[in-house]
Amino acid sequence: MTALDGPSAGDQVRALIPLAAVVAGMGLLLRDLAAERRGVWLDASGRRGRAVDARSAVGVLVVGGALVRLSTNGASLAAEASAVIAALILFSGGVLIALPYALRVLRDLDAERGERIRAQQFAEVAAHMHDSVLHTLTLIQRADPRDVAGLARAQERELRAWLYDRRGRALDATEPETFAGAVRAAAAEVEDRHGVRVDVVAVGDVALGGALAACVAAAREALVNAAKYAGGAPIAVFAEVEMVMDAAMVMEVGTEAETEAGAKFGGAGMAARRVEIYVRDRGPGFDLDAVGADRMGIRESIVGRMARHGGHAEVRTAPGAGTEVRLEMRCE
Amino acid sequence: MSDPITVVLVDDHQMFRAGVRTELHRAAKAAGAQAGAPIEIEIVGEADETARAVEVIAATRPQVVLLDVHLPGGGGVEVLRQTAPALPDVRFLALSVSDAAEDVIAVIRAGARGYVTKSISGAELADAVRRVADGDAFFSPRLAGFVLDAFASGGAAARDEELDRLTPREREVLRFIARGYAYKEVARELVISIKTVETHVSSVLRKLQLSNRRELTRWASDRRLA
Repeated sequence: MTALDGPSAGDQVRALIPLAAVVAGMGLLLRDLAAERRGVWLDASGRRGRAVDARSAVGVLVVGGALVRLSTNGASLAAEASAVIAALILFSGGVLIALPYALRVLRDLDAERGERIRAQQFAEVAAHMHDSVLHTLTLIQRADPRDVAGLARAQERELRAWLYDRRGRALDATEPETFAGAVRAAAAEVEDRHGVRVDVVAVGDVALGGALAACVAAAREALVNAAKYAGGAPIAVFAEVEMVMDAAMVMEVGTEAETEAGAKFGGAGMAARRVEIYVRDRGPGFDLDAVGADRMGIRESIVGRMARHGGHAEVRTAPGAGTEVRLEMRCE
Repeated sequence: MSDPITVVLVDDHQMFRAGVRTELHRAAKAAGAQAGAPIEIEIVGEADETARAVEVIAATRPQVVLLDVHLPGGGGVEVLRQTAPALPDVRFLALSVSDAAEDVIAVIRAGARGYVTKSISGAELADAVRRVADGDAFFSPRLAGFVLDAFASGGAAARDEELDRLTPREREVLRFIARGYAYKEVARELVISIKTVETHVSSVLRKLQLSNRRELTRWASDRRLA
């Protein structure tokens, strides 16, 4: 029996069996692809995923087995070669037939994945709106009119942080980790507690260290003072973290200790950071000299605190001119 | 009594437009009562979306357009792109609730003469409109903060061209504005004339609009991820 003499009826049947197996295996594989597509709509659980994997494996085995069977069908080398070629042609034909379908499935999968991501994002936004905005609107309808402004302010702040400042999400959940974040948190706290608007403009940022925390605490004290005595006018806070160049630092400060410090951080030319906070209100102002020695707010909580941590505080005020507290500190 | 300043108001919220109209009217009156020579502000047109805004601005040719950054149909940048080149006499003042640096910097770089937030008081807004109508720039504290941040000397200052840097005096002026000082107060603090303050602010605006430093755009878009 040689394949080259032309196939007998028995040979034809024998050749058809592996062919049928290939078709069946392909069908199984395609079915899985389709199932995966449906799985997007159904709830694709892990078990379902494993079942699909098992079926795919069976499909691959069936196709592979049939190909091997086809290739070893004949006895002679020539028959084997022609069988392998036939198998390859069969395989490529199968791929060609399946390709458009598979591509369409992939495209659908992609579109559905996009849809799912959009749906997730919408759900996230909706959840946030529900937790914050809707909740607040409900509160406002039931609240005392005096509290409404405060609620609206707090909500605006939270929404802004959420929309524009990804760092802001940690605002009320955890302790702020950066200087600007801490200044914003202090401003928010005073805003809530004292019912005044605090506008914060922050330039630059740096990780919050021990001395900087003291600086923020002093700023908080200044804010509380402004909130108490400025008659409800908005308070402006400007916080800036500035890189100070070696040379500029030496020129400005000039003392030996500072020069050494500059040299220590030098190298790339960048030496230290200067941190400044300005807290300004447009209230009635006061006479600084007339403040009693027993009033510890400015003397201890602001000026003293800054001095203890190597910083500097200045209070500029006069009756009728508002008040501005300036805090300055250098850090590496 | 001088002619009223003509203004077109572009914002997609009708309530907000109504509020601005009332406040500008009231503020102009109050200022007029003080100064004796009132400068009226007259709203000659309103629009609530981009295409309509382009039409209204072309038809009314106002002195100042109060332009919201976010609008249906393209937004403030698109309005500027379509109208500013053809109408060089019309000045744009961005007025937005947005806190996003990239929104603000984009609209300034497209040609707006200033940026104020919607929480601004009526009197301040009237002042800003007058300044912009006079050909000056107007920076709110927040814009001053954004600009300082964008032009911060991040170490590579040496290779920057002149346009990409702020002079020490410009920085000083911006820092006062960021601290909440009015132009008049900045002038007093630095012992310079208001005119000089205006010159510094205008030159910063020019740098913002002309500066070709790539970082400026990237800086603004990175802010959201920072």
